[in-house]
Amino acid sequence: MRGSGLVLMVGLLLAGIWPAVAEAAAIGSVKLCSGAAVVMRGDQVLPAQPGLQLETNDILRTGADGTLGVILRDDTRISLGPGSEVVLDEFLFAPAEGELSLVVRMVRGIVQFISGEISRLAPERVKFETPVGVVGVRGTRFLVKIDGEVAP
Amino acid sequence: MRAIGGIALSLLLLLLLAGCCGPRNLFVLIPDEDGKTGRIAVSNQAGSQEISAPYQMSSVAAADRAPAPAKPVTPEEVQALFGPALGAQPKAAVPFQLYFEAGSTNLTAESAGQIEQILRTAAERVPADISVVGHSDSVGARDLNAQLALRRATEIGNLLVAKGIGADQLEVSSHGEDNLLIPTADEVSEPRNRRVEVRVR
Repeated sequence: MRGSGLVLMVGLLLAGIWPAVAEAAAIGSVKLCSGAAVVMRGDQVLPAQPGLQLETNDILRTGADGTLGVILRDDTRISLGPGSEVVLDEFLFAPAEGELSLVVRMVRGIVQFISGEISRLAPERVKFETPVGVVGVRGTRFLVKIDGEVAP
Repeated sequence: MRAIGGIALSLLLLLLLAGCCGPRNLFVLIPDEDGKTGRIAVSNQAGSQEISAPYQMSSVAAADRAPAPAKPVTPEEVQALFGPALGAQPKAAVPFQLYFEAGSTNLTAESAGQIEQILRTAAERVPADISVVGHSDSVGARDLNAQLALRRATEIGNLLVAKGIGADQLEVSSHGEDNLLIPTADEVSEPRNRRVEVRVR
């Protein structure tokens, strides 16, 4: 059981595709955007554009006229209306290694969440956090509106 | 007269929902694209509220106030409140299941015919992300299944690259026997689980 990750890695090396997998830090990509929409990555502010690859800890942020739609590698879809912010806190999608987890943290705005494979395989490991509560997801599509400056 | 009254009432409701005195924080369950509806539970330190019917919502005043009981919301109200977020929704990923001749990395004739469809779907989604995931059934050792599934996935990945898909658009991996299409017990031979799943996003 526990050795399978290592065996798989050896298998990947033998198959000669290890580098491609090792670089797969991308957890998804931007598909749609309009107006002011950026991806914050550490100190970088990346203008959103279709095809921009996303990484764990990226912050998705839209301005007053912005919208942004992303799809993660497990087919989870997250779309933001104007004045919104969402942090991609955690994304693990490796069923063969038993690694499944998705934590999305919404800070403010209006957001749609459509669940993907991680929700289907391990719904208890999907969390959609907001300043006023956590959404537990059971294979579904939902919308959340959070006004800014909510008292902690 | 009654219609006008109805419209006025709807508008008033919208204003209440979206405006100053409406709930600041809302959680709304809506149907999936296939018409089914799942379930959500909104929880905080003060309580938890489950929503399991479409077009039901719960409002939450603050982190230390329990989520309000679920109540109905109309599709029109949902559109008025969430229109831009709904409008930015990416297209759904399109899954393709490819099957292999027993004990080989050769596609069945039927599955080989699907390659063109995969390429067409990718062309509609520029830039497309394509994941190629090998799966096995549950017969045999878990590790060996992961490797077999990976060999099949690699075969398909190479085929797609040969047909013009950029290697940087592709992600090839293996879920081995841990993501069965047809759920079975361990050590069950199931042809529909011996597959490569290509998902075009």
